Amino acid sequence: MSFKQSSEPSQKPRLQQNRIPLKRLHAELMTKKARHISEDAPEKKENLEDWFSRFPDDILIHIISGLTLKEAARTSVLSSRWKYLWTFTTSLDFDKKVKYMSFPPDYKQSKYISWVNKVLELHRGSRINQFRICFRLDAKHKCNITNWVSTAIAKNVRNFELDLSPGTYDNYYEIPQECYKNLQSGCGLSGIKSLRSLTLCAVNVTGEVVEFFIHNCPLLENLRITQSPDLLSLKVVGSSIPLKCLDIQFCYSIKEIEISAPNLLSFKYIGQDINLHVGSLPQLVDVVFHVTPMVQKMHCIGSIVSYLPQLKTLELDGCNEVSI
Amino acid sequence: MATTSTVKLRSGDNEVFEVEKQVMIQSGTIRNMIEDDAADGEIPLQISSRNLAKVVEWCKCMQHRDRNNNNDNKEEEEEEEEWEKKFDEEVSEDKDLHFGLLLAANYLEIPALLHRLCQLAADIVKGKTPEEIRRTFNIKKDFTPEEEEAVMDEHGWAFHD
Repeated sequence: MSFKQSSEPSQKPRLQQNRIPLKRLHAELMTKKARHISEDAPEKKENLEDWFSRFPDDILIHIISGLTLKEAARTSVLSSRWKYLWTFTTSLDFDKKVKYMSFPPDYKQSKYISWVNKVLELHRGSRINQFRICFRLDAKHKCNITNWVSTAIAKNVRNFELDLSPGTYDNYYEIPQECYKNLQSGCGLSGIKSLRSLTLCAVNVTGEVVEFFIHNCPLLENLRITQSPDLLSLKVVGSSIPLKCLDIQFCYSIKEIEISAPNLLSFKYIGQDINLHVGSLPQLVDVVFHVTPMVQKMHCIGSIVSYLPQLKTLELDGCNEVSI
Repeated sequence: MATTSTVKLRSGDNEVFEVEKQVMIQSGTIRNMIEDDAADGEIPLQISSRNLAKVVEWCKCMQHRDRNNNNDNKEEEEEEEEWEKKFDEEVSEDKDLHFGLLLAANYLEIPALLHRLCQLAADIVKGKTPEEIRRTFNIKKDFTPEEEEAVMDEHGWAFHD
């Protein structure tokens, strides 16, 4: 075996060519826990070298995931190595609430939708930490939104936020039956197992759907539902529910909430006066009740009174008198 | 079976650090060695003593914080916050340290430290133009002007708007 045949003149360009792959190898060895990599010695000499070239792609993707989507995509132009790294970002935060202010709503919505679709088409990562839709949309955009929900779940999303507020009165988006059925099947079910946090704003969900998430996401700690007209009652009851923060706001058809969850730390409710049934809440420390429209006498606080000694904060608003 | 409560880490430049096992189990690599009873002698690491000292210091601080999480000691909490702030500043201003620690945290498998350092690197990238990012990290542009143009076109929404 002899591959040292190359004569002097051809060696130079070869060395040049080898530079990047060798460094990649170096980085790969580092991740494979090779024992004898000199980490510091070359550092001094390589002060003018590409700092990132010694890192495996995983670290660069981790860094990119700390950027906004726009900043992340802009790294595509840095060098050929960076061109598609951003498409593995674990943070898909589509926040553009203040964009396109001066355009008519339909134009803004179609711009937003095509932006999300374009990014999702390019995105290649299989796991995402954050998926956040934050734009005024409604049932007119059902197909697109449902596709986004399915994509987020297929990518094992951890923190999922679908904020379509203010939405359109009487035409809120709701998760279609077939999508809900898919969630209940094995594949969809494994996709929501990673959920830590779920926020649905101006999305019409029933108590059944919300309870489905509560009982089928073993890591779900934060749940926030706002502006869901079909949420009539909610039962958060179970000895193994991991939920820590529950936040229900402006669901104007809701009549009653029942909670008994061993890990619940905080409960926030804003909306009309409701019947609240409280079971065991040994960890509860923060409570917010804001009754609106204002009432003479607030009833919902009643059953929480036995937890007063353990509370750190209790915020009440919207009544003249509390009935216990 | 585990005989002592400490591990000895030897840096690339031959300095030995004796650290409590309880502190170093934050490192997946060291934890595996402890569990496999392979951590009784010195563990040679190709990490400089300066970087290793910083990693150990960080692990100690985090362990201390986790242990004290339950008792509400405001004074200690503030001290820890102050330490973390100083750590962030020191790392952000010293690229040798920052990147050395990134490689070390990756190698030692310390997810929380790796995450912190990646976030600090992202903070440095934020708000910079591609040219400024290249200059800051000495990234060599290997695109021809035509290729660069094509990449920018492909990601138009990120460059215009």
